[in-house]
Amino acid sequence: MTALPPGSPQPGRQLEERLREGQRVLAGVARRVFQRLGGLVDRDDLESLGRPALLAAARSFDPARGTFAAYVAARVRSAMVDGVRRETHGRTAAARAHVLAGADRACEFHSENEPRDAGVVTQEEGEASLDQLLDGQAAALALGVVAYGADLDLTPGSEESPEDRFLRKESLGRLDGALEGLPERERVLIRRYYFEEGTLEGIARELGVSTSWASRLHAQALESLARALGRAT
Amino acid sequence: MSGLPGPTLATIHATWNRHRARFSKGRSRRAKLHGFGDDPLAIAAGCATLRTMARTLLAELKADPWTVARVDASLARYAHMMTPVQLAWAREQMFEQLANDEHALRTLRRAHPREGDESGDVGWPALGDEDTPAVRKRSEAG
Repeated sequence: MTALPPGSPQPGRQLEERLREGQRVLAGVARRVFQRLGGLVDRDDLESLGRPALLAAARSFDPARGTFAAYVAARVRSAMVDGVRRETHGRTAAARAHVLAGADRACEFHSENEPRDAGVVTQEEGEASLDQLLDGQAAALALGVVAYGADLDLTPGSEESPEDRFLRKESLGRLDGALEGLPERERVLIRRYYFEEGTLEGIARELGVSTSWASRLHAQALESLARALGRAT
Repeated sequence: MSGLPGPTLATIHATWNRHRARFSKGRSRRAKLHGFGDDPLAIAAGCATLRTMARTLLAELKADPWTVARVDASLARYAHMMTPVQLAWAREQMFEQLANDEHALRTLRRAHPREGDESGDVGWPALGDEDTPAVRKRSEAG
């Protein structure tokens, strides 16, 4: 628990208030994850998966880092998708959770690295920041879709034409080339995370870096991939 | 700004911010500030309003050409790697993130061209954003 400013409630009472507020956030996040996973995991199960993270977040929250609601939402969302990946909720749910976890990680990293005292930003800076966020999301989702394919249970509406097959093969070749061009640790991380279902924590241990550093490598790799593949006009 | 349903989207944002502020600013004195008392039904009704607004915002973002162009440009380089259904799913997830994630929404608001509505009100919050710790600190000090 961080030092409390003068006039703040007592730690026990503050924890209680955070838990009460966090409970509402937990329910909202569970509803959202439920929808994102296509209703494949029970909402009560999701809330159970997020509850330990809520308690930990209520204890560790630092008001200087932003709002409690945003802080706790990020923590419980990660706990829920990690839980769905670990536990037996079916292959499709686990695959979707893994892909969404990658996209969430990219968004979290972007949030954590936002300048804290940015003050007024120009529209150009704002646009660059938005593009960076969206590029990271798009890369994470695309890698997940490519890696998991049929496991995501997103049934094609029609047969793929020979031309589509050709373009797909060509695009996948470009993606493979872009992956090969990444620095070694970023390449290992992307391959292990997306194509071998590793967790960021496990991969961080393998690489001998902290989880937050692995998160940075992940974000850098997504950015490099997006750059290497170019922005279509 | 051509092609933007600005006033509608701006109104949604302004309303969204007002509602969200009621839920986040008075964390320690929540019930009193929200005006919902301790009545769980009233609080649930407030949350339902937020949910409805999130859905409305999602629909507004998907109808906003500027936002759509930004999302599609990010996804375009992967378009041929995915089937149309997979691409639509990825796109839906990106819009969903923009509409529901506080950081993503703030980033979008900062980047989105602002526009005054017909009454002369500017619906978008100031670019510096009222939610950042630095701005909160200033407003607390002032």
